Amino acid sequence: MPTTFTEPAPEPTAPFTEKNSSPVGRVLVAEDDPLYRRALEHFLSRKGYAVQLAGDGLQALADATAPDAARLIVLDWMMPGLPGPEVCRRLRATPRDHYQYILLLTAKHTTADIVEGLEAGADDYLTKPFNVQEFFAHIHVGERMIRLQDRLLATQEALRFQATHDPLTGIWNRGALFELLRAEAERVRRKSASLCLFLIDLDHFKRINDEFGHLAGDAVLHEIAQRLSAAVRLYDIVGRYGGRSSSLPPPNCSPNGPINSPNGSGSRFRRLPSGPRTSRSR
Amino acid sequence: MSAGWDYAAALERVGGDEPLLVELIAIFLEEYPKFATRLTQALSQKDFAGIREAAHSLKGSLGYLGAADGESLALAVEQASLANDGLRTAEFVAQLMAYIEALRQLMVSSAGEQTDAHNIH
Repeated sequence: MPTTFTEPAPEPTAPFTEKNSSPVGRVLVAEDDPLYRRALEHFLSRKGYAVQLAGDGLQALADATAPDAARLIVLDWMMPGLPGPEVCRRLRATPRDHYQYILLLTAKHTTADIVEGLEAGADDYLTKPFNVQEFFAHIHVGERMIRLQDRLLATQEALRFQATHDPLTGIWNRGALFELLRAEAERVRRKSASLCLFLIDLDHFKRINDEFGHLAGDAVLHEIAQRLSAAVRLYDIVGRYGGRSSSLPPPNCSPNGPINSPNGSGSRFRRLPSGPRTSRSR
Repeated sequence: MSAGWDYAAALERVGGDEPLLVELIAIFLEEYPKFATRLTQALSQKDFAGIREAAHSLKGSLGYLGAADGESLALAVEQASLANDGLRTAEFVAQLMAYIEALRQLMVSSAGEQTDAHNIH
């Protein structure tokens, strides 16, 4: 054994910068071996991760399924309570809004072990004893996957919005409006309630386009949509029915209700436009 | 028996973080008697699953701390217990315990050397 000690090696990975800083923030480390648990806690916290520790499989499952659970999970295979692969299986049995990336750590290293671990739902596999550089390389893979998944969800949400909203005014588009109306009509029919529907046409709108140009016409439509949205209740629906018409069907509105005539809100639409444009739909 | 211990390999594994390695060695010294007790108790009861579990845990710790010979012995215990081979399991457990005892002495004396080294600085 050496009697002198070598100089500490350089930092195992580049220090975190804005560019490569973790979007994950918190890592759940489920490890019953105190030696590995301490090493993992030390490595991760030194890199700025918040580390949540679990000492057995049941605790790991409880922490991983909590409402605000960590997205990145480092899971030991052999643990009291539940083994790592079983934690994976139970975690994967219920789909969650945000994908959780699982790195399985184990001293098991046969092909059959690796297959079993990954088939149980782990995303990656690292055998013990591991090197700290290697460990962080795997952690960074997990972070990349989580970032990709977040981007996918954001794109999905943007597409969902685009598919149901009018791009010019930001209110519901015709297709979505009909879907909502159908559901609303069914609801009031079942409850024998009444439904109030305003089909609003903008008088002499063509003159705005002719006189000021189509861009001005678009601005007017946008402004009208904003004012309509601001005039109704949170649960009312404002959408674009046709080229220049908007419909306003406020649910639960009786003929003698608070909004019984579009004229009632007329003053809102006659005033001059003001303030910055905002996109809002109901 | 003499204990082979590659301190440099253990140090490299933790990215050259010597204070951490010293801390991990201390954890091992504190924790390993529990595993040793579990191992010997399981052996006396011919509880092969218990032997395997304790040997598996020791294998991970020994490997991480650069004690490759001990890691191999722990693996031999695991394999012999998997085969329900009582004689060979007992033989390897005895070798493993002897190895760990020698390693423990090395670790304790190494901790003294490190303290001296730090004092000199």
